[in-house]
Amino acid sequence: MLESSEPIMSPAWAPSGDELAYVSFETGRPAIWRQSLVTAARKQLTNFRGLNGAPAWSPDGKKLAMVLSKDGNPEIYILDLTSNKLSRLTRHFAIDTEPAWEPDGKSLLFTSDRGGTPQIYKLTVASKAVQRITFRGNYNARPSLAPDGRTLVVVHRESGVFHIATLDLKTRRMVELTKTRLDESPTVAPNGAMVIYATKQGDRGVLSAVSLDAGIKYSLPAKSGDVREPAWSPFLR
Amino acid sequence: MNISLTKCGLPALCLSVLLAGCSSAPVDETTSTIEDTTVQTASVEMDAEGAPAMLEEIGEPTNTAETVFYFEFDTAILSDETRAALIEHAQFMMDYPTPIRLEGHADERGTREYNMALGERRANAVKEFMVLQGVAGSMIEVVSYGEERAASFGSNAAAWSMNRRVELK
Repeated sequence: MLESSEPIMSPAWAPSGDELAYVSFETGRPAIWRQSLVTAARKQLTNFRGLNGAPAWSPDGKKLAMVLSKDGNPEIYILDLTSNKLSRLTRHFAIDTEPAWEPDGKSLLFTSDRGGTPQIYKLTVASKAVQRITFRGNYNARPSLAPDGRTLVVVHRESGVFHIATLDLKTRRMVELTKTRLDESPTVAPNGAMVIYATKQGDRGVLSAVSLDAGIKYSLPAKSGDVREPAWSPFLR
Repeated sequence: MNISLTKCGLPALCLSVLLAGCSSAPVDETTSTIEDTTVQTASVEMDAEGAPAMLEEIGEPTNTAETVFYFEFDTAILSDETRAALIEHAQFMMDYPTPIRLEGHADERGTREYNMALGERRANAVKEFMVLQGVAGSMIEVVSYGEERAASFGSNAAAWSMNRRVELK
């Protein structure tokens, strides 16, 4: 769909399933683009200095949460795709990144190191109030919600090793899902039962899948090269 | 390196959907242009009696200080070696103002977008130090590549230490 000698990252499916947003370095700096999966037509959405990253579509598909550092350090913004208006949500000198919408579209989960090391926080869009969500381990990042809105999947580090872990937002119970190393980019399947994530086999990037109850695990074969950053389409088949 | 975006299991869509975006240009702020002023000098050396010893024509002034600076895991703190090299670079840039680009990087551990922010934090730390030495901030562009542009491939401490860096170009 897109090939480049410059990095491409953070693909995000629009809820409609017919578009992707992603970050491309083709202009020499990271910028956010949207691309139709039907026509392949694409459009550059941002061109700010500094970081332009982590695009996340709102559940109604009308807004894109994103990370921009144009105002001094990485903060979370929302771009209204109809009006092209940008609103700023966070105001803190720490790194704020990796926004993920709650299913009702009223809050975002995001990663911030405002507490010293990366942890997950929840931001209410209307009030901009921020509340910390993760407390176990000294590194929790890249929040991804299962469709039921109750299970949070994160990249978690304990004892120096990175794993994928789930946090039950009701019981606050945290469970490590994976035992492979250097795990990142977890994405929850639309049916809420599986997580696909990127990991390393030797020096190669590969994809693995694990069920949310950690019962089933398997690796996805790739012929050659590095595979990274899986993103489930909204379609179930 | 060539990277392809692969989809996971998307069935072919039979809809024809027009990309109905605004016809406006990408959102950005107006940025000031950076002047490219490279200074050519000819140097005249005087010997002990004050007579010109040799007339040398120097082309582009050069600077041999180290241009890659390394960092500890999850930090953006400048080492003593880095500071010493940056002082040399700052002096050179004040004598011969030339725009530079600082490219920040992180090792592969942790998440990609967080590592983009970490790479930028490192490059900004270098920029701030140079500005403190007297270099004009407008001469310094900062770009982060996060973990995307590894200098050393391999999942071990040696490779990681080569990737936690800022490159001055």
